[in-house]
Amino acid sequence: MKQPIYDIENMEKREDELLFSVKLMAEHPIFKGHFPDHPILPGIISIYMVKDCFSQYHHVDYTFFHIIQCKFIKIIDPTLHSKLNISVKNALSNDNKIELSGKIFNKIETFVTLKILIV
Amino acid sequence: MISLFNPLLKNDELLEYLPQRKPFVLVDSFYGILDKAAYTSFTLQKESILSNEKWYLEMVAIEFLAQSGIIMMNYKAKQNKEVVNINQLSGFICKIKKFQFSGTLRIEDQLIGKIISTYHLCNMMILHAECYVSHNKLFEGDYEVLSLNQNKE
Repeated sequence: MKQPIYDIENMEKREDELLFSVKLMAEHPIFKGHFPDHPILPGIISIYMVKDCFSQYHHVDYTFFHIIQCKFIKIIDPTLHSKLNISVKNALSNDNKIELSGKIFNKIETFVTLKILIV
Repeated sequence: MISLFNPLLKNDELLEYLPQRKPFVLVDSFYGILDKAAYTSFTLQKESILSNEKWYLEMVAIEFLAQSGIIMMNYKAKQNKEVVNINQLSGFICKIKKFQFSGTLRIEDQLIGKIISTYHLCNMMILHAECYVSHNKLFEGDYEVLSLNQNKE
């Protein structure tokens, strides 16, 4: 059974960045283990969402090459923060990888910032 | 000498050191600490929820190493007679950096984790983590971890 943990509801391009609106599925079984009675979005899924949004916009199945840095600033509780925004800026790295600078946020606060290389 | 045939802790015994619960427990065995390095393993079974989609496989190694680091920290804390609270508030990873992907995982690969504490000040710790499959190092990176377990018994 495949069950998405998030859904991209909207995507748009604004000047040099892509902006996405995503909805978290708080009933996803992963939240039963992370953590019982206190659901928190696993950090790995935050990282994945940034790359996946970019991949879906371009219809290309990119894979990770390097996580340069990822800062988890605030916990994402899917019952409180079910609607999130993701911004992604991209550039070409020196070795022809795609460098993504991403941010997960809502109207009030920023939860995650990251810089990754994908191929 | 650490034997990868005789885990110190395995399966449900690890839950005394880890706040994650099924279906999101990504460590099967903890083999102990030797020369500041802790060793763990995990085999992703095809019936696992994490095997359902390709994308999970890309992320399993990162989470396996993170959970291995948490087990190591809590194991050391218990050895030092500190009070260890195993819940989601006992600590968290605040930063991942320099994480290199040098391969891909397949279902039923056995992952071997090697975790080294490279910096420790008060409740902040930097861990360097490496993940091996069939003796090949496929992933490595650094985790900055904030532990909230500080009280001594």
